[in-house]
Amino acid sequence: MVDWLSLAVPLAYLGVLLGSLATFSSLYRKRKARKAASLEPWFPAHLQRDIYFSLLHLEPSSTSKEKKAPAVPDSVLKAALLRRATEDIRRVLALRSQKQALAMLLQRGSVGDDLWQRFQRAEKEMEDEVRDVVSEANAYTPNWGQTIFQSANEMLNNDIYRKRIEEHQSKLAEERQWWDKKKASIQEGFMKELDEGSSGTTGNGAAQTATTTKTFETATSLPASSVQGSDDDAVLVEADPSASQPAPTPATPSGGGGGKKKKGKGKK
Amino acid sequence: MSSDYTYDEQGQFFPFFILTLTGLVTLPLTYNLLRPSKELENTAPRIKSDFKPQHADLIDGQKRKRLRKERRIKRIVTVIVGYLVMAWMVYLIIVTARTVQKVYDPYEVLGVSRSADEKAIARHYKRLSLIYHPDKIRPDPAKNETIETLNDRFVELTKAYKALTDEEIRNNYLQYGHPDGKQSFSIGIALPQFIVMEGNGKYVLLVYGVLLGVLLPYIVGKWWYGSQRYTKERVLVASAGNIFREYKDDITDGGIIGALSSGEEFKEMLKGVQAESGLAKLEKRVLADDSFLSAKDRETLKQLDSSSRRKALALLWAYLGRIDLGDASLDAEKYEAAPVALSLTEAFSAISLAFGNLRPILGAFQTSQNLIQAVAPGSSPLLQLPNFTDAVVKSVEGEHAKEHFTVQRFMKIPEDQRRSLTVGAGLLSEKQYTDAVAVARQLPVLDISRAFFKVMGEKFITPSSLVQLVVKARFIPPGCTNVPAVSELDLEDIDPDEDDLDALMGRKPAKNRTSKLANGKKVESKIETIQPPLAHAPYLARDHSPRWHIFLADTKQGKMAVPPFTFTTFDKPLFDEAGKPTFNVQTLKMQFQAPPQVGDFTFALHMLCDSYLGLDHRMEITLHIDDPAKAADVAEEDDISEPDEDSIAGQMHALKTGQPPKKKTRRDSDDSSESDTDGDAAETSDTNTETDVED
Amino acid sequence: MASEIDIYNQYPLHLDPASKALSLPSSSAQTATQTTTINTELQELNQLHRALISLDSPNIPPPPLPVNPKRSAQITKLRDSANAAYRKSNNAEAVRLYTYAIEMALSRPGWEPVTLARDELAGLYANRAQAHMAQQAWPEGLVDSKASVDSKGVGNVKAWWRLAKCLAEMTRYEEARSLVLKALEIEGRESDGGKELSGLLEDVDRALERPAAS
Repeated sequence: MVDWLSLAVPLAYLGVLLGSLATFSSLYRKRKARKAASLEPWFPAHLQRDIYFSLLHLEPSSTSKEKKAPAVPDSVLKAALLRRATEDIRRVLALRSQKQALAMLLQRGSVGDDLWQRFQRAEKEMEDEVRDVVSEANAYTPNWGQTIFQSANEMLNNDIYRKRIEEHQSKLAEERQWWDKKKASIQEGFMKELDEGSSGTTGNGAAQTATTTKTFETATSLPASSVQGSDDDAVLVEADPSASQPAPTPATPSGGGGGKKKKGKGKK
Repeated sequence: MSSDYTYDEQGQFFPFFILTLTGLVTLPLTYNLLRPSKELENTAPRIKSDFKPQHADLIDGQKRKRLRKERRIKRIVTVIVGYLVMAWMVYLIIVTARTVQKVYDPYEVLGVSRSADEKAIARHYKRLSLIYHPDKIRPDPAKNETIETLNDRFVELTKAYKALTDEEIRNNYLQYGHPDGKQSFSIGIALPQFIVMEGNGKYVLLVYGVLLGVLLPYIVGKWWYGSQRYTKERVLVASAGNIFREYKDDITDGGIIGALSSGEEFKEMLKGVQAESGLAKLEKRVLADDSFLSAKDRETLKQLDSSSRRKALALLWAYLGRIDLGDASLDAEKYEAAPVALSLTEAFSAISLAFGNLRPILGAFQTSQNLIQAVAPGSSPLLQLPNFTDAVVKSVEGEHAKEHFTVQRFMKIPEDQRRSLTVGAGLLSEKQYTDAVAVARQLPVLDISRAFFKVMGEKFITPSSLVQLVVKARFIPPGCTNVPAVSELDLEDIDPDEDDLDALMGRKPAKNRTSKLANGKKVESKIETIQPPLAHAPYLARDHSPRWHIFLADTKQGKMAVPPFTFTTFDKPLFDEAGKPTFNVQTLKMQFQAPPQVGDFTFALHMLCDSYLGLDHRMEITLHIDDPAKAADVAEEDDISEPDEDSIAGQMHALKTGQPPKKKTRRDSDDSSESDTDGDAAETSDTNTETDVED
Repeated sequence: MASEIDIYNQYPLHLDPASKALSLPSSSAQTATQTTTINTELQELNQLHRALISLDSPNIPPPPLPVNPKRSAQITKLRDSANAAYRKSNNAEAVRLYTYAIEMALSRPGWEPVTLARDELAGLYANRAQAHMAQQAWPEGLVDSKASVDSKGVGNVKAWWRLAKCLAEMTRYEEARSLVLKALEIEGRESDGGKELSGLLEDVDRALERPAAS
């Protein structure tokens, strides 16, 4: 007769041990699998690509209520493809600039492993995407695939550049407004100083600073603009046409500046 | 079986066992608990100020909450319990009398030494029997002796004598200390009897099973996930990932705050309903105050989808704008969010350093300044002073000022004028003004007196050598008058006094590329470490010790050239006992590898304090790298006396720099090499256009 | 992978048969922000489409180089006449002509090299800033020289100088100072305009000293 009770105890122990280990490992695996599957894509939805595909699949029937609606003209598709290539370039450039930094951060332990996995997936997807665009482009016009990304690159950069210029120009109204106010306050202070000068009283603090501002303003800026200003201006303008003449010759795009002057912006 | 187990029935070994076990857990924990007291924040002096900001109680509450978290109450309790258990066990050990089995020892009974041989023993026994034979002596009532005791004693003696005269028994005694020869070992299990008593066995096994089968995997799993959850900067891995993806090459102030709000820590902080509660009210307040939030930042806030992130960002803006939210719980959350964001800033700055673009790096440091001082980006540094409000700042800076006054500039205004600008109706009271100025006079403004490059033990800086950037700087608090001039001697940097050998030794680690010497080398006398006072940050719900970062940047390309070195301590006192600034010249050193080309390299040296606004320092500095051949030539001319050694030195130079030792041709081709570097420059400027396009 | 790349979001776009312009019917099931982004994208697309249609037969953008010389010549002509006007102190006229030139340069098609646009516009903005400054219109000068410097940071001393000058004229000395320092770092003290920049720096420093001393 076996002592079932005393046998049950070690069996139960073994069961608990194995069971808990199994639970742990399955939980871990499940979690890992879920994580890998749910890795967020690196980039948001590719709108340009979606539009391009939507155009390709634009059912003639949906627009055919009127007449035998024409299929989407090639030129529209080409434009859409070009937009798609531009967005691709933006993403490829972003990935390229991030790669080195990300590898370094991963090595240092400043970012997690799954970020790297997501990144690699994005890289792979972009490769496929670029290949797809090239083949599409070649389908429209032979050899377009070779230049489409060149064009797209310039379009992207031009776009960025114009946006920046626009941003600068959009500040004009604000600057103008500020300066009008400031000029008024300086003039007011100047007038006050004249008044006070005649009455011989000392101003309070605020007036005093205003007047000092005005005095050094006049002291420096007026001679500067009259003497040195005109001198330099003359020199500079003389130099202007000669300096800017070579610019239009397209073959020599001289190495544009790398300096970014952001001080003024930083103050905003 | 000669060995058998005995359970610890008397409970005499059990306390030892428990004592050891508890000790194994408690002692390392104690060390762990006591160690953090060396952290910067706990040892630094403070800036003296009586200023109490609005909601001081809330801030203090958050501070305590954070401290509690940091102090790890659980561990403290564990340690205390551990010590209590240990003390109890020690008490048990002392109280329980140790029952040591006394082994019958005939030598002792006879009173002879163990070295005595048989004859000596016999002689001794004869003598004793003459004295102690019951026939010979009378019982002495004074000694409480009776005839029986006398008899017994003699019987004992005789027994002992018998035992010893037996050859075998005597040998057993001599070898094993026991008449029967070798004894079996008895092994005791230091568990009390009740544990192994019949019927309790299964419970013990159950406990054991739970320990091994459930607790162990649980602890291992927890540790595993825990260690995977945090990055090196002690932020959640997910946060670092989010911030990395938010990073852009041209990200600045507002954008960085936005990026920080993507941290997962906020999600944890604003769990469940907290993400929604008060969000509408909060947003209304933040967006209503139109003084500091730019249109772009507003847009970012409005476009966020996730409500917890939206709330986090709004809270951060409310904190930076010092907006009174009019709701205790919201305000508390506001003060809780700031330290979280501050720790996230470290992750951001690590990321921006990996990218190496200057603007985000500067932005990261400035964001930390903003967060510590609760001053919105682009607002006046004067807000750092106690009691200063926008109205006061406006009065100081003028109505339409585009530029902000730094505290230094404010303190440069003559006293009476300064007072009249700030004290008045709607501005400061006399008392508030004094408080503010008192704090201003204690700000640790580090002023660079001189900065230069050098190579230890060399006169010239050769390509790829290990260069030291030596920064000599003084703390000059704002508003200091009659600051003494810097003595020239202080600005010199003297190499360690040992000769060549040591200098060579000093260069040894150079090849291994260590960059550890951040805090100054050993100058014979002493390496004092003086901490600057804790940052005066009344709104930040956390103590923070200021850190100074020094790095070199290439302005033309907008890139970082040499990554930041961080300084938290200095080698001389900042203030004397009376609290007056000492104007000691502090030495800050950092090492890096020189570029491999010959030529002049101009860098912008940036020095930023992470805790105060307006203390940033920036200067141009040129690194002049000499041709190694030329440097060797000069060395030759210098000491003509030992030409042999010199040529060896020259060869060593050549070896070190990888430059072939053909000096003559080298000099002939100087021109060409120069044009080479020119070509390099042109190349770099070409790459400029590439980078330029991006921003 | 191949299947993944074929997945996309279908948008119910509408193609106007006459103008070939694309639009998104308002009835679609997108959120407000999505709709606006799609609409802006469609606008850009339509614009690009118009530009493509105006091209020659294959209706694809030519490679970035070589550039069509016609527009460059026009811009140069406009600039020359603007320079002439400026030299005759006819500043308002100069500003007007520069503005035309800038508009023309800005309307270059996107696929032409960006460096070309940058160079061209850097010069034009700098010159217009100069014309503005001659009329003491400092904010306009400031904005234009900022745009110029942003277009071309290196080798653009004049724009740097004008930028700092405008700031100094508007009593924004701190900004002016930090900009001059930056310009000096980028251009080098020994460059053509380095002397002028240093001179301006001295002026600014003097101006900065004054309020502190008084």
